[in-house]
Amino acid sequence: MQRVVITGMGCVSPLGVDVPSFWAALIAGKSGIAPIEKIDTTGLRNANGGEVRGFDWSLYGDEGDCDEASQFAFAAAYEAIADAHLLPADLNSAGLVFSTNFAGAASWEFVCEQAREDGSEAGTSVDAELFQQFTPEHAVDYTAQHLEISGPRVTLTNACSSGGNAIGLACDWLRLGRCNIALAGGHDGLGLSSLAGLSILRTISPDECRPFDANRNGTIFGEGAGIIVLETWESAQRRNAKVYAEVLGWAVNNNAYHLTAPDKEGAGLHAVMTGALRDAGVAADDIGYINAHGTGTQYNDLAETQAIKRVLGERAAQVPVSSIKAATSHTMAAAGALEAIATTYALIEGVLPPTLNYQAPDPECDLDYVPNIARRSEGDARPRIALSNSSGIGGNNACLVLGVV
Amino acid sequence: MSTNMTRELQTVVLSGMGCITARGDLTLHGETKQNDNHAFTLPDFKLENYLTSQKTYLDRCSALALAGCALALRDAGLSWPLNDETSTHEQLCGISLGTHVGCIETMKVFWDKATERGTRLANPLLFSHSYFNTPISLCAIEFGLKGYHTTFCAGTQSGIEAVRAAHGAIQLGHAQAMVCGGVEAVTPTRATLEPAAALGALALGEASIFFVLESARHAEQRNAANHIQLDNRVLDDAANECSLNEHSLNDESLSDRYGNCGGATSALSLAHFVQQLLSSNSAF
Repeated sequence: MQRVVITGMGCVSPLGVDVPSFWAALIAGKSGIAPIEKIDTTGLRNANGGEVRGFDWSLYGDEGDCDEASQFAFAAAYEAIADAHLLPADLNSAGLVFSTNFAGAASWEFVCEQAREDGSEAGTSVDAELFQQFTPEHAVDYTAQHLEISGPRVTLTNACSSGGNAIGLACDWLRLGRCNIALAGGHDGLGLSSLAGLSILRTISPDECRPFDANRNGTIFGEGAGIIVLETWESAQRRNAKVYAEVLGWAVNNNAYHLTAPDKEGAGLHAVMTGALRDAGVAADDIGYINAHGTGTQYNDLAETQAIKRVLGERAAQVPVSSIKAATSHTMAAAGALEAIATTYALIEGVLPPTLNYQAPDPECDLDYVPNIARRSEGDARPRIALSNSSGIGGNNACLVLGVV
Repeated sequence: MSTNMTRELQTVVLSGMGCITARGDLTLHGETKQNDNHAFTLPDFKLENYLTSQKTYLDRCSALALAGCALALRDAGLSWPLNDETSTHEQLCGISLGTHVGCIETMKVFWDKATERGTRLANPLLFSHSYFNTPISLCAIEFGLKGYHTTFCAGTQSGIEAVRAAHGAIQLGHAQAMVCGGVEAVTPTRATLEPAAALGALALGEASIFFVLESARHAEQRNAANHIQLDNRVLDDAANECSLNEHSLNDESLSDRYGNCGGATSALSLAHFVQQLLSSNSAF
């Protein structure tokens, strides 16, 4: 079975519209959360969000080509391909595994508006192109078409664990020989329709996102995309490609508990981490860092802490765990991919991204959360293997095991 | 850093099937229920004919998914919940599902009401039932499917991609058994919006097509009834021939018989291949 390595990365995020600016802002302790400008936030629990700023679609395509969420995905894929130095011949048979929660949310709202105004059963005045731009597969189809990528492609949707799930599925495609190179990750754009639902579910904090803090009261949602180039070890060697890290294993599962309420014991998160370690053939004792899902909600952070403690046992207090969501916001399907990029950089640079807004320790959340300031880890403390966790509404969980090469 | 490169790939078998279509129900082991419905929809569909538990609210896509899963699991001789608290990871069963537009009906009702009343008064129940992955989450909860779990949205290929993922998950040891397939419902919103798009050249159809896959070892251990080995060739054939206008079923195309079943289309194609493998003279 083929080993799978990461040879390129690209992103569009509230912290920056490429990977170098994303990582630099992350370890500088900056936050991309600010008042949302493109949406009327009246009636939402919080007017702030992780909005992408400074993104110029005209560098990539024409106005009206695709929904903003697909634009983010395309731009991230473009950067990842350039970063991996992939040539057209390499791309021709590459696979694409994209993921999204809300697809083209902004296009959806326009389509609904047109249908309401039309009023006819056939929806004759509904813009067919706009409907296509709403569909989940639009980003992957657009990317394949415009970058002439002819390998297998799919879009998956597994709520906020989608990004990690997509990277894991692409890893399996490479292991099973479906392709030798794959681009995988997640994308989502901020839309009022999705924010309205997430707000009424009371997942959004009325003030700020404080992962693992005693006074945490919800998350802040945002937008973006993260795309990673995965490649078989053989292919990377043949191309003499720069290798960032290895995807040692992964797992995805479901709590099978409740549609919206989390499993408070963290049984699903525990199972997904142990499943990923088993898939990787790695012992829990080898884990040196965990990039947590860490949404800043009461239940998620407690459940994840309990699950990590069960997985790591007595070592739990010594293994740094951080959540980047207070910096990036919760970028939904993009989150798992952006966090995989952050985890990869933590491994190759030996710098652990901080958990921002951490002020008041919670007696029940008692791990080392790398509070507020990035940490350089050296010598024996420098992690060689790390986990990246994701969870989502519907009870989904995903975990990636990444290692230095 | 090296990894466990010597892993043995598991052999995968198909041990159950549950197909709910406008032309009737079909399973691998049970009798086929045919009807004389010449439409592409299921006007008489009732979830209680497949599942006894009561539901407060369900999108039609979710209801069809629950029914198809129940039919497939029963056909495979599996009772639920499949995983209890003592299950180890190796014993966990999972689910993968393909759909093109999923719970688009609830998605639109939610947003129309929120637009009308204001976002502060948006309905949380409708929102939680409007996700693309709501049907699969409800199936996981209903049947205790705590293992591998993914929804695919890939147009007409959605269903076969879900089956491919399940197949790979078993081969690689992520799961011992998987329920997988495709589902699409005909609803007022899909009927309004999808005709405007490319797929709309065909009359809309609905179907819920699920399969139970498991490792040969798992099937043997539980003495599963007649099962057939499922390899990538069969999946490739089903994927290649699911093209709505090209697939021939006794001189009748798949779309002539079932309409545009969206994300369930390629799963329907696989069901047809399974029927061919079994040399059956059923409704398919």
